[in-house]
Amino acid sequence: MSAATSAPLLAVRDLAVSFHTPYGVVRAVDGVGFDLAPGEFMGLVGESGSGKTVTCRAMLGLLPNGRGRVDGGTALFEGVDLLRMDDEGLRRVRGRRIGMVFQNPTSHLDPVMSIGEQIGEVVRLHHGLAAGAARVRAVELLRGVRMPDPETRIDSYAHQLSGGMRQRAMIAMALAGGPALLVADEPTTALDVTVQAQILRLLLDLRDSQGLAIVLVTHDLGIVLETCNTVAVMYAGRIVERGPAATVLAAPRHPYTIGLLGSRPGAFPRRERLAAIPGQPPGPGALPTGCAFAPRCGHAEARCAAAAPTLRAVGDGRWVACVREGWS
Amino acid sequence: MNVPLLEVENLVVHFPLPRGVGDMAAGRPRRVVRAVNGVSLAVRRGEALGIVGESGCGKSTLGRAMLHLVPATSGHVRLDGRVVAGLDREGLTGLRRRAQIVFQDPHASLDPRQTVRRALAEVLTLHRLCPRDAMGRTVDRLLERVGLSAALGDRRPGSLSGGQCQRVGIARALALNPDILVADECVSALDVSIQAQILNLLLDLQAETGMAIVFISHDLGVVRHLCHRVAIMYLGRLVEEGPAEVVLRDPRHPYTRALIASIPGLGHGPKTAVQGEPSSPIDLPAGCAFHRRCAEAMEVCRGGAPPARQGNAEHGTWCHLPRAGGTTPIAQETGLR
Repeated sequence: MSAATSAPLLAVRDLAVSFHTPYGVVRAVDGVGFDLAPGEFMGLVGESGSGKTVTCRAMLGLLPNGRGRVDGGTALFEGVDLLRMDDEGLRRVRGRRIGMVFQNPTSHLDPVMSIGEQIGEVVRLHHGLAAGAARVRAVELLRGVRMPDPETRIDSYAHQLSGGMRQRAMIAMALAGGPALLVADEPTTALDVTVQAQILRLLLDLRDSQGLAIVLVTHDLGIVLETCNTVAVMYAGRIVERGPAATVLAAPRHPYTIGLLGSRPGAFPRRERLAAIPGQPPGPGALPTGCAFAPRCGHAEARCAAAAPTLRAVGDGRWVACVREGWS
Repeated sequence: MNVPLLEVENLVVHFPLPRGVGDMAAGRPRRVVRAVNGVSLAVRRGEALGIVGESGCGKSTLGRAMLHLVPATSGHVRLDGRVVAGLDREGLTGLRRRAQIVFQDPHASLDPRQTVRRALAEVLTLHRLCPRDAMGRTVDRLLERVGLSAALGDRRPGSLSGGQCQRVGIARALALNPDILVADECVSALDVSIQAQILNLLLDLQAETGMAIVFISHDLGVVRHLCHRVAIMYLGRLVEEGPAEVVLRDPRHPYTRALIASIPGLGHGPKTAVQGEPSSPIDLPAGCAFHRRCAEAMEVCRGGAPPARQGNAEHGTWCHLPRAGGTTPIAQETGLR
């Protein structure tokens, strides 16, 4: 299967999201767009506040009530625009066709329901299984995510499980509806590195065995390199570069992507200064006009301040939002 | 032989848990968190020593015990060959002046009501290091050394970013011109680009002052970059120590090998290098603490005393069958660079 020829499972265009804060309306995501093919594993990378989580939550209709608002754009999933769906329709899609996994499983698992009851609830709601059959299915799902000793663990409560087991339980719940897309928001950030490797392996195996498409939100480029087919790098609410993960990370073209890679200690001889990006990301209410990265960029020119550059195709399935592209 | 700057010998730190009514009625003994369980380690002058391990392995407790911020249950901590425990108030102040710590959460480790300037001046006043009329200039100079503008001195932590707060934390430690700085996961809460800035700052400051750094971290990649030597911990014990480059290229302990294989970004795909998760430090297994997760565990690993140190003076490992690692992903050096 080639990702380039099959119709996208998810097509996001011009997504714009703003938040109402005590300091006024703040644009958190602006002009975000990407395609995701069935079975594609995409990394959505960026630092805190870059809009990667907000992008996912907006697509899924999970923005905080009354504060976050989708200002425009479309998110076509299996031919239906998620952004124009009513609550009932969204709930149905979220339980069945799109699964979600979050960073902190503890706050997304019900503390007074056993793991089995929670998975069983999803199975009963969306597949109409009876209680007995739902329990059998729940054990199957837990085995599928390599929960140790699933027949016993099914009766455990979240607090009785380790961090890794909780994340497995969450993934099992996300898979209960038989989704085509899994949105995983920093699923391993709270886990130890050896357990992180186990969970990432599991996600890759699920992609391979079930043809699951995955959007993985992460701040770790190493994780992207090892798991993702494609990557989209976000900065200050916009995608600044996207394309095949291996080529983007081997030869980044946007100065921000170059800077992020340069900040990784592995790239330098030991105890040598890292090529850190100077300064810090702009606060959400204080975006400069033009390219938001320009104040930290070593290549910034006068025209960078004029207008925010849009993503341009630069060949090989790669897209870059920088005025220097097309001139080089 | 030279006396090491700071030396820890057979250090044990246990935290007894409160005993519930049910436990008493059932006659169950008091449970104890065995955070550090007999660690011996030396910090040499001017070096950067990394202490690496997963959550709950006791690395932070070890760092705090080094500075006598938590009392040792048994064992010794020596600074310049002199035992730290039992110091009087004056002795402790002297210790604090020479050994400082920077914490993980940059906001929580600063007083939210104090301006940056006052926080720094307080340390200098407390240790009588700076006459009042020179205070303004000294604080400005401190801010400059950690890369902050003097104007920032009048702000409170709430209006600073995480990276800026961490710089203030480092300035506060630096104010005393310490011989040793314990940095406890001090870049873990920061974004990658800010993390790189702070690592650069630590490298610069170490070159400038010659202070020793004990860098406590779960991130082997960062430790590899910054540290001359590394000590790997698992459930309260050291499993391996040695020069960072040697340990990472030729790890002898199965746990070290698993940790290295789990670093993302070496281009070998996520490997399930080791099954399961660490046991609780309340309920330690007999024998080698790692045997429940170790694919190579033998009968001798499962009972009796924990393994003794093997290897040479520079590179040691606590394993019954230490093996040459040979080709770790780091030895092959592929992937993200």
